[in-house]
Amino acid sequence: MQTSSAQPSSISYAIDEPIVPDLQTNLRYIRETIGNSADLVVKELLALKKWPAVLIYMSGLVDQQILHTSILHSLIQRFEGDSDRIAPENRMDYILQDILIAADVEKLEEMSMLFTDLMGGNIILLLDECPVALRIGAVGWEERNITEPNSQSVVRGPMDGFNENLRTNMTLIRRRIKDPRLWIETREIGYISKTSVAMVYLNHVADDAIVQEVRSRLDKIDIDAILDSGYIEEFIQDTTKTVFPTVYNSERPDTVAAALLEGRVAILVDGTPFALLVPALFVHFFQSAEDYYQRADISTLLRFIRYLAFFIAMLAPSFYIAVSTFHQEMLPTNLLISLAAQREGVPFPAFIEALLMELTYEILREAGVRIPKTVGQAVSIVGTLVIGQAAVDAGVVSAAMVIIVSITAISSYVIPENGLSIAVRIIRFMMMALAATFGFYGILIGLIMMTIHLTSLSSFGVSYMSPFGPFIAKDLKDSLYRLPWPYLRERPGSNRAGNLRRQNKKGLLKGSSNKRGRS
Amino acid sequence: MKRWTQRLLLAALMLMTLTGCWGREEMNQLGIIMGLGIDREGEDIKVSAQVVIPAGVSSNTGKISGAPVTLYTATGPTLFEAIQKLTLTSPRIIFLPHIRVLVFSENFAAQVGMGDVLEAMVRDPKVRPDYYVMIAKGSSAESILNTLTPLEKIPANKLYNSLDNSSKNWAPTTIVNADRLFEEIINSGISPAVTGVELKGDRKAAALESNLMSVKPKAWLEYTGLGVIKGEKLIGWLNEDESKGFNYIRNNVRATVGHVSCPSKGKIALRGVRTISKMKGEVKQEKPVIHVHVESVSTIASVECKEHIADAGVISQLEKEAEAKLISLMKMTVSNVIRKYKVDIFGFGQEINRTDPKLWKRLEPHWVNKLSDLDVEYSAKVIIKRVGSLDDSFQDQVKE
Repeated sequence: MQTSSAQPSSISYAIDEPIVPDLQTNLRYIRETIGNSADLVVKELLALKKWPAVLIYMSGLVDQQILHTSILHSLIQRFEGDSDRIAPENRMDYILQDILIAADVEKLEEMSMLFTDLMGGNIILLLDECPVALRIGAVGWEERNITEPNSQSVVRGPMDGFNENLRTNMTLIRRRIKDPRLWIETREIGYISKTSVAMVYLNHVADDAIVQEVRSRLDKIDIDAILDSGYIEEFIQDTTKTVFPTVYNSERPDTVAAALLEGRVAILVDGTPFALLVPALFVHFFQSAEDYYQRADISTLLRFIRYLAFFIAMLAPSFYIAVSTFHQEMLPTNLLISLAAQREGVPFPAFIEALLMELTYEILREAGVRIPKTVGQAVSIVGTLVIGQAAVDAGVVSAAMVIIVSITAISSYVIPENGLSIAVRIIRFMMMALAATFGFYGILIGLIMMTIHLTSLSSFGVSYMSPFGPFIAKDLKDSLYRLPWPYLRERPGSNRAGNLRRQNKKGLLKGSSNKRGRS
Repeated sequence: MKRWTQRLLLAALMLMTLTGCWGREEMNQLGIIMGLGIDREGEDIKVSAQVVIPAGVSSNTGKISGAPVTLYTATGPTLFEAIQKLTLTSPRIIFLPHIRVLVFSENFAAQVGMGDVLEAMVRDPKVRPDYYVMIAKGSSAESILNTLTPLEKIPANKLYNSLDNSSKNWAPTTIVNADRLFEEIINSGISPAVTGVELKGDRKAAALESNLMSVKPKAWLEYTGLGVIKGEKLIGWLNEDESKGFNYIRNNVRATVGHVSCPSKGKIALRGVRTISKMKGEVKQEKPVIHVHVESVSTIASVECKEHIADAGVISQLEKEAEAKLISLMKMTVSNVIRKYKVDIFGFGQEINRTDPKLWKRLEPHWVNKLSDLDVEYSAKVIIKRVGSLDDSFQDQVKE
């Protein structure tokens, strides 16, 4: 694991001091620097019953078991040899080499490094008359269990999801791809938060240019703190002037592993279960992990349904507005009469009616997310009143509009990735306005503009709409539909995967592994 | 940023110029016209528009008493002036695209002609010319549209569906939509024949809701034979048999039921399942000859006599009889029509035009006079495929 500080820490000048031989001076300095924070634990002891020493750590960040059995236990034993013969400045080396039985130990000379490690959950040992500190790795804080991912659930397939711990998350990937070519580069981003950000890719499978591009974009990030991968996403995406997501996020380790095997690059951020995947193409947002676990025919059908739902979620209200206010002649006569009957007495134009209902739904949806779980039922009760028969009976909206809003709402959840479903929600409102002013003509203009916009996008140099635009015939086998696994012999080339073959061992470049888990 | 705004403005301006179906109207601002009646009032056209009351039709809004439709009438020198004048009485915008039937009164069709009205209707780009055109026989168009019908709440819909079904299942009726009528009016090789509709029963009760209350309606709408058109004017009517013969020749028959007489006594009903007619022109020694060939696949629907229909010989006998009957029906129709009306509603001229355009050019000016000399050869092929669930009739086993 390589650790590289991404940028010069702008507050480090204050603590950029060497460690001095006097224990009390060091202690005072440390206490002052972190403002006597209550979670700083300073345990004073006589190392080997002779040398005054302190163990410093942040409570809650270290593993108590390691502290007791591997550190305290070995430090307080009686010194067997001739202690006076060891010069004070060599005492630390002696402890490091002969006494401590902890594995992850390192000498520190700078205060700045001491602080970084202290905050990262390490135990620091300071000895009197000794100008170096010892960092003992004993990270062990409370973390959430590996549970089923909330945002992307499947019926069939692995049920584990990432949690907030970067190391656990990397393990989850490593466990799936047992190959030395799985490379993980870690860096710290955020000069205050010092968040570990890991870049994961399959060397020689992922395109070097893309890997280098990810690396350089990550290096350019200059911010005080990274609290979620969303920060990174906005920094590294190709353009912010779009509603479409050009970075995929997932909390499923199997999805990430599958993407790595397709030659994409994953970015894991400490403190969040959401990993980023780049490059992300339009088709990726319609793929669910489950597509690859169940039979190809049903996967294909489900994908068609998702594309259909995408268009319904985007166009249903605008279509209704256009038909009912501009193109009544296109409706079957009986349907027109039935719709017109429902609209009797409705005071608003169809556009206002649709806008009213869509906004109500968006408010309900937002309330549903924010509302405390204990009063959560309130939303569903009120929701059925506002968007439902009561609204129709009150004569505010027509029954058909309720159906339109409902189908729209449900359809937007069929899209497996939340990012695209948000994009669709935004576009829906634009389309409604276009439909209300120009009818079908407006919708068509909107769709044409959207297509132009989509084809102009790219994600890390890969065209967003590939394999459709540019057309890559080979990659169609896993796009709108999915062919059964035996036919998916090659990795998708639109990711510019270095090594294209998936099902022929001879096709692998250097490397020893024979067994390749297919995601 | 400035360039961006400029571009956006330009795009918006271009969009404005391109709009096709302009005009936003909410559905509950529309008076949806389902049927349009054309009568003559002096020199003017009187239109009667049957407008749907949506709440009265849609079942899920609860039963609302009153008629499901209302009728607005207005008079004007041209069709659209009259239609526009409907707004004097109608609270809603007149919305024509969903029109199902266009009814002419017999009077109007015979004296003024249907051409001008039809021209105006077909010219309107929003109105699809797939509505049915019919002529009210013996009554005004207004009274046809002023009749309430049970089962199908909207009378215009009843007229539409009834004709649609009848044309598929009963040989004497056929559908004539505006598109086709328009074609046939302007085509010199064929004259149109238009469906006739009659108001029967107690005419005074037709518009009252009580007409819906009785099991047998007091007044009802019924299709009758076809009206013969010369140019754009109605000149006479075909009876049921002639209509049937006409439809066989024009390939308008899909399924129907007919009968042949048994050699002894009684009848055998034949259900025509599939009927195809073909007309072919031929020029023999500078003279046109028309071949009409009808092929019909039938099943036996009922047997009233003692014939052993399980016998293949009897079946082929029946087939021959049916063929002969078809041929005589067609012959009778053609000779009657030509003798009485001197008009080519069968499209013989069109067929000659197709076969020999040069010959047609010469014949065209005096075509109606040459009709009586035209050689028409008929042939028919009837195939009885099935006899139903019984073979011989149980008639001869009926206990005395």
